[in-house]
Amino acid sequence: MRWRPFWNLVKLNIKITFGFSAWLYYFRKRDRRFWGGLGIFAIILISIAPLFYLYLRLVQETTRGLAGTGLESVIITSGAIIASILVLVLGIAYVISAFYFANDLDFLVSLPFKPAEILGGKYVGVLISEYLTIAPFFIPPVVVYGLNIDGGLFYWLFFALIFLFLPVIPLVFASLGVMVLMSLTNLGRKKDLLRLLGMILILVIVMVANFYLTRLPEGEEMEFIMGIMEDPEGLIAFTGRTYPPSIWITRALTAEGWGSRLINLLLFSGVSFLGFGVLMVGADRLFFQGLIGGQEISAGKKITPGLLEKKVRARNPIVSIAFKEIKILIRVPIYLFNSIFILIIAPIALFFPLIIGAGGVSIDEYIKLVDPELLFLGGVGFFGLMTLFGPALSSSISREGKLFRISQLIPIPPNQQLLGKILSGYLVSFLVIPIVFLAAILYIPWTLGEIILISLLGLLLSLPLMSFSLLLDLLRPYFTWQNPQQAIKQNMNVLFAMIGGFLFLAGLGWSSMQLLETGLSLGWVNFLIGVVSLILGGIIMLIMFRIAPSRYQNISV
Amino acid sequence: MIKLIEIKGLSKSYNRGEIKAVADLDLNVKSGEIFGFLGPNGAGKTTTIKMMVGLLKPDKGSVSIGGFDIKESPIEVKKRIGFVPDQPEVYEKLTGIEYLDFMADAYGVSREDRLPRMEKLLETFQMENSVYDLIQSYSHGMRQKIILIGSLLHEPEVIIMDEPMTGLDPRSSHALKEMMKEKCEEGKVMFFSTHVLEVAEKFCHRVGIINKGKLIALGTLEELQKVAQRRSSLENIFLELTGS
Ligand SMILES: Nc1ncnc2c1ncn2[C@@H]1O[C@H](COP(=O)(O)OP(=O)(O)O)[C@@H](O)[C@H]1O
Ligand SMILES: [Mg+2]
Repeated sequence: MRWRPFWNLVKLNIKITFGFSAWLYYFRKRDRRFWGGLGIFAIILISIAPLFYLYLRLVQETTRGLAGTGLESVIITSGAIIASILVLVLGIAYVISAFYFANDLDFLVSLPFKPAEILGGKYVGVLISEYLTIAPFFIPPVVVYGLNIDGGLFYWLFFALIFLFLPVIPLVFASLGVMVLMSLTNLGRKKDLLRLLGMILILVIVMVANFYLTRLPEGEEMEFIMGIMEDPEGLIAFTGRTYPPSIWITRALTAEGWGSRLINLLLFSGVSFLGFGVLMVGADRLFFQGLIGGQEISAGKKITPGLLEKKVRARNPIVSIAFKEIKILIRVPIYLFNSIFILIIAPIALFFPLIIGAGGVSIDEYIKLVDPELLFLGGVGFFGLMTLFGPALSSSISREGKLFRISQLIPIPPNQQLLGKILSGYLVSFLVIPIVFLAAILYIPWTLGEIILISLLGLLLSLPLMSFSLLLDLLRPYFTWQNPQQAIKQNMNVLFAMIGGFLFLAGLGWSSMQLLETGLSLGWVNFLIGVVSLILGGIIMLIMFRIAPSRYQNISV
Repeated sequence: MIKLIEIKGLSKSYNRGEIKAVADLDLNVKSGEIFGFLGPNGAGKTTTIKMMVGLLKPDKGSVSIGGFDIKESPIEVKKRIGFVPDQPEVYEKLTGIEYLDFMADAYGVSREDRLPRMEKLLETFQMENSVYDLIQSYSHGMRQKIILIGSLLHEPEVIIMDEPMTGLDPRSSHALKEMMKEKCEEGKVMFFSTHVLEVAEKFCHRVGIINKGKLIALGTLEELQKVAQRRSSLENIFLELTGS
């Protein structure tokens, strides 16, 4: 790898990833888009602020609870683990779209760069965006701890260095995993499916490994916990065993004596550099193998006399629309990852602090603490949340792009077409049911009846969420995208639908809790949730049906 | 004869009236007619056609197909039209057969009807082998053909095509011409735009010439020859009428 081309590619990727040039241009030109972008940024900040506040409180309370026991440094270990696993899990999705589906790749490959240089440039681009991801998780524990012990200049300096290195190793793991997967599965027609299965497999491996690593010795959990609680080192080692670098991070910030701190810092940064080196060596061998030469599409199937008859089936127009949507969703990798793969990533990302037992308490312990009624409602809310995460409907009209022309041309009334789209959203939603099942089998003692009820309520709850998303996209579709990535990533409808839906879920959740407190039974609360969802969904659909015919007539693409 | 296409005072301008793409167009096409819509690049052919099929909203005027007004009963109009656009853009991630099946579903063609029609059209346009592949792998001409087949499955009364000959190989464009004649004998209407004059000359019962958004000539070849004195070929008529 040569440094100069590498550095040029890094600069290029930073510019592309964050669009600084475009923002600066908008700002100078006093373009509306600058203020629009700023407004959206503010909305995002405001909508995550409550969650961040809760996390901050948790960190503060834990620190206060552990104060004086010498155990409080474990919050740094936990913070480091949470941040690192988040980088790993989300990194898989980021990395795959940056390394394999970015629209400048064909162009870059045709230039005289080495594979490692191109990949290295992309890697740094992703790395930088990961800092935004880890900041809210890693900074609070370190700052709370530092303020408590009056850290001093070197504490903060070490913290800054560690922060810079923190995402390096997990992102190397994510990159290597993705690269191996992509080069192994670069096999003609079915490769997108293979790749999806491969990613699920990687995640399952991560989860299973974690499950075994965090398991307490059976039968003697209490003694074990008491044992490690007596010794701060033991607790940190126990918490950090899923990800040993988190132990070095903790020691680099909290060990007695600067010598020992420095050694741990050097250890951590050294391993980070080593990891990056390994990635670069791997990239030269593997990167292009997964990237190029796999565009073979023709089936070369044997054409037999009865084949046509076998392939042709007549469907109701609404169902036909739904199937068409799903086929395209599954066959365009970017759509697949953003709407279906996310259903697997999101729950892990949401609950990973619990799943990995950060803070030394396993998920089973937490679940025993939670009121079963709240747990049930949580399950329903989770269902709704998953519907929000897969932007299948909030970009459904935009994704048609120029081909919206076909939708305008066919004699299926717009309202039926929209119903078909909602049906396709439901087909994706059904995938959440097995996830709820899995959660029930692994962690939560729900009965079959409860799982069914949760799923039914979840599907009802999805109705207003999905119709709202679709309505937004109908009102201001984004057709002028150049590649599928933009159709989702640069589509504000996706973001607005998520924020709106999130507020709805939060409001509904809060009201349900209030109702439970007044003594209303869970059954009644469930009934109300169902009724509210149906009514709201119905109203939104009616509005949609009112405006759809004229929208379909007046839009010209 | 029944008027299958009836266009009255159709107008459309772009850029807030700066570009008058189509101005006050009147046109009728009767059943059993092959109508050629001629004009130089940028004359307004595509704009007119888009308004006829409901892809573009006219500023003024009306279009009715088979007696139904496009604004009042768009679905009825769409059921009667088969449309082949100038750009062969189509769902890349569907296979040819999935696309055809989708179109047949959309137009409500029963399974019993669609099978023999597909078989015949696929054979006519030599697509019977590639129809099982993703459209992504098709060439320009193959895409045109799959769209063409998709637009004929419901046996529309009115077939509207925007520059259908460009990009087709000789064999396919021959097949298309044969198909056009056949459809006209069945009493259907063919309305197509072209800039290839021999095509219009040989196949069209009537032609309309549009220039700068205005219909400047309309009639059979003989009628047009009278308008443009002494000019015999359509090319000369065309050059004379559209020249500045
Ligand atoms: N979307 C558009 N915006 C602005 N002007 C357009 C648009 N589409 C077409 N035009 C203009 O309208 C005129 C007619 O175009 P068109 O109908 O495509 O011509 P033709 O199909 O006969 O070549 C041209 O001057 C063209 O530049
Ligand atoms: Mg044109």
